[in-house]
Amino acid sequence: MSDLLWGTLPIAAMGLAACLMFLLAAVLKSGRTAGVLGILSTLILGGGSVLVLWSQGGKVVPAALVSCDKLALFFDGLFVLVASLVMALSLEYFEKKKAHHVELYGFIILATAGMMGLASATNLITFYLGLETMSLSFYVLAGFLRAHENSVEASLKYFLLGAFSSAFLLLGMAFLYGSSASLDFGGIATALSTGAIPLGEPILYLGFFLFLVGLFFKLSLIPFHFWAPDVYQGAPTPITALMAVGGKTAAAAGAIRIFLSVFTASQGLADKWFHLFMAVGLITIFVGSMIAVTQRHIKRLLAYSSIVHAGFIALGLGALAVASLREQVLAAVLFYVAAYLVMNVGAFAVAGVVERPENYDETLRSYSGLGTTAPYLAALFSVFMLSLAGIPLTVGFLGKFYIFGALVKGGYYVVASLGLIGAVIATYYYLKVVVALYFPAAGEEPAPAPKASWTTLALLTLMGAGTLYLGIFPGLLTDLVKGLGIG
Amino acid sequence: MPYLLSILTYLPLLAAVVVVFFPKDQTKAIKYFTTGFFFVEFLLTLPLWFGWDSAQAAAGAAHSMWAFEEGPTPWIASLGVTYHMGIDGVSMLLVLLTNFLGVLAAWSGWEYIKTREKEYYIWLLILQTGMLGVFCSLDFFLFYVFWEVMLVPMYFLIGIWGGPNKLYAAIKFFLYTLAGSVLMLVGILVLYFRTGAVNNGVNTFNLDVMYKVALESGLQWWVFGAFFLGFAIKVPMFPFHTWLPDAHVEAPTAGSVILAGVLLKMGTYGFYRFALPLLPDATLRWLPFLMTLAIIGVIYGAMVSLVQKDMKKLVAYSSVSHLGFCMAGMFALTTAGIKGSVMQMINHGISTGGLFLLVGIVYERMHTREIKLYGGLAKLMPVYATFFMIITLSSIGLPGLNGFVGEILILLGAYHMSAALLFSKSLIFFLAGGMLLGAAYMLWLYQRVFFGEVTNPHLEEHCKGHDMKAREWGYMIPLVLVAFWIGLYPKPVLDKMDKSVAFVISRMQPAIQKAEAAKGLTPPPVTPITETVIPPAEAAVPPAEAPAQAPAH
Repeated sequence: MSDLLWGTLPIAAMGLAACLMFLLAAVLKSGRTAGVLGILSTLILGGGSVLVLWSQGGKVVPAALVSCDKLALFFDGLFVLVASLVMALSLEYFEKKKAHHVELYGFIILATAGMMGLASATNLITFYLGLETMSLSFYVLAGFLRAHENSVEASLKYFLLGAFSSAFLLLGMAFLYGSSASLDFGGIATALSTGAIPLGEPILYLGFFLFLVGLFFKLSLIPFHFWAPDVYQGAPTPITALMAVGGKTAAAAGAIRIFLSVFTASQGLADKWFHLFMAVGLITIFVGSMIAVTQRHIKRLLAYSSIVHAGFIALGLGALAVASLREQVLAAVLFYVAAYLVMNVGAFAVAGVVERPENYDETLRSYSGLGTTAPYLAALFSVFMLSLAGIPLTVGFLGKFYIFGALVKGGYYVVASLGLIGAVIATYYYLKVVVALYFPAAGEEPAPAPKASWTTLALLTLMGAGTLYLGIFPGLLTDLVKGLGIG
Repeated sequence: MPYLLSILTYLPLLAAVVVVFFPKDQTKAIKYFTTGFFFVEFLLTLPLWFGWDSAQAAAGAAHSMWAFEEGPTPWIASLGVTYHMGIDGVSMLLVLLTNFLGVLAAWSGWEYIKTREKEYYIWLLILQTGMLGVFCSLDFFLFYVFWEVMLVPMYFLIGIWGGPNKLYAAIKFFLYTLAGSVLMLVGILVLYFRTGAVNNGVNTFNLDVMYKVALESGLQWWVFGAFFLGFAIKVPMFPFHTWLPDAHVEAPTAGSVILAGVLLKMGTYGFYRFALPLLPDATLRWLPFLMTLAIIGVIYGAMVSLVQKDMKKLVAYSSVSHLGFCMAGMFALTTAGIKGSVMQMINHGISTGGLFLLVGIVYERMHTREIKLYGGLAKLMPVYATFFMIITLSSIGLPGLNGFVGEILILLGAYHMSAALLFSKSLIFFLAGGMLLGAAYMLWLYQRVFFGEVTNPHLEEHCKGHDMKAREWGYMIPLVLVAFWIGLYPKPVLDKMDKSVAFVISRMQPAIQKAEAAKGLTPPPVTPITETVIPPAEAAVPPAEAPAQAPAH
């Protein structure tokens, strides 16, 4: 097999798995079987190819459309993980909602293939293909609870706004191509460093700006976040987890790759990147936290929480522009997204469990007093909340610690202080959830304990244990992210 | 015993795990087990006190200023985080205080806590681990972890078992302290990235290494500002004290005892262990401001106490005043002042802890703390009145009781403070004024509650013939004994902190001398420091190598 084929193996494997799932969906009656098959094929085909390639140190083919370096493989591994978890959680969730879900798994796998494409694209075309494969699958997935208005609304809203942002992205790409005469990241970088820019610098900057707007939309950074709360609220909860974790991680992966392969070519451009991301990141953290404080609906709250987390990631992405910090910041961002995966999928999983079959709008009211009626679930949820808030001994704390550590190292004390103050504001709404769990208001009946199958509980336990274990002994993850970079 | 500090720190956590497996309705068993455990924990602390001299001699032989030292062993190697525990005289006293008050706090809640008892004792145990960890950590990261994690159990203790406004108080407590400590984290990180220069290019959070970092004066000022916010909120210094009355008033009795007795000391301890020795130049530059805030705290806390209608709130505000004393003593930067400050930390734990326990005793009977509903209580509960009197006198600093020792040392220390450090030493007079006010609000409280005729019929009904029970005797007697012991013979306690205080003074001395020279003052005769222990570079440094000089030289 040629290196070129090797390099596309994870994407191809997931694409194949998706096709298989769609074909099987025609004959399968039971969603459960489909789900189990989906998980197995993801783990075997996707996970297997990632492991095989990782053991070979990745495959990098010069001038190919995708790069399968270790950085991409790291992200591919995260996507396989999150997809499998989401599928496992969807099984019970959709059965509880009595909704049809045989085809769901095909779309989840297809979305995963798109994420992988986004994370390993080295060309504007493949970048766009990856992004759209992921987004189109998300549009379908968001509307999978067809009987529920919210879900349909979420799907439509996401589609309309998503299409709009894709248009920005495409326009940006057009400008980039026009001014640098190349679609390849390497080609654009060469044009930048040699100064061979036919249409002139302003057009190039405009192109980058529009391109980044498309990315900001996917990362749901303020002010491109308006879709997120509605979509996250309306979409089926496990799918929300996929969008919040997988989608954002993929967008961050795309941003990292485009920065490392293009923006490093010109210091002026890197500086602009730095200022843009720092500003957007800080605004996102502050405004996002303040809006989140007013939320009563758990999924909207988690949506704003994921917006704020995107803000922290954006600070890390911005700091990539500082050459002396690059290696450390990259490791910090990778650590952060992995941490974000563990704790956030966990949080959404609990939200899915607590959701009742008939009731779709879940406010904090349905969490009231779970500390007494469902102590184990409540304890796990608290761990996820404290981790999202960044309290020590959880992986969320270390994630923030790495990013802010890098900022302080670079001498950006003010940014670091502001970001951390934002984190304190954010803590307030996570505490609000803990308050609902353990301190029910006087005279309020505690909510009944939700039912959860042992598989879901086992997965939750795994994620809770991961949150704590990696929070105390992060060596496993730090070793993994150390020295990763584009090949 | 090796690893004694780790054992002490994590044993309560282990006990909490054991309590998890108790059946929920076996409240009696849980109470006995937890209180018994706290007692055992206290007994385990005693070797620290009785074996102190030999432990310190052993540490001195190993060129370390920390007794019972563990590590530093790598914990998160990629970050230079080490597991490093150890104590000096001051932290030993605070560990002792923590475990002493732990027993009393657990015991005092037996009847006060009537709902969700199992969880209550679990959180109390976890809190103990957090507090001990704070006092024993010698790695700034480890310290920060304990410092933050400890908020969680306290948050639950206030939020579940607190008074009517508990939620507000719990969240305010959590966010206030968190806000201070995240900025402190930035300061810690600034120091961390400078440790590489003195540690073969490897950054580390190990305190021994951090002590060798000499930050340039401008940056020091900012880092001190960050530390100041973290620690001053915890102390709490005026004007960061507003979380304290809420938290104190809403917390259950045991929570208040721990909060006043131990948690507030973490702030003063933070100044003592980190801010002062790590940032001597900045300390001096901040000093006029800090001293002013401390003295405002003394006067303001006392004045606000005077007008309180609620007993517990009065005691809470008195903490602001007492802690102001503490800070004033520390910022005097003289041996007497710092020793007095540490003494005051311990005394405040005993007197204010005692006052909260006493208020809790009558609250259990009357279910109100409003002062005007009392009056003439001395007739109904004579024994209680006696205990209250003793603790009141200890709190206002009557000679012969513990409070006096701390306050007189602080005044002495402040009097001998170098004139170069403060715009006007006449500020010290206000400290003495604060002492007067302190006597005024406490005695007036005593008068209103205990003297006069019984006017409230409920008081007669609930309190007559219900004087102190055996359990209440049990946890008040040790406090009174300690109050007398420290008041009459404080030498053993003061001696324990000799070396530790000498170290802090030696860190400050060069900066003070520089300030004096700049103002053309001749340094006042300083009592010679017989032995100054400065931590060696690493445990592995050969003893032949001379201990590193303080960077400010």
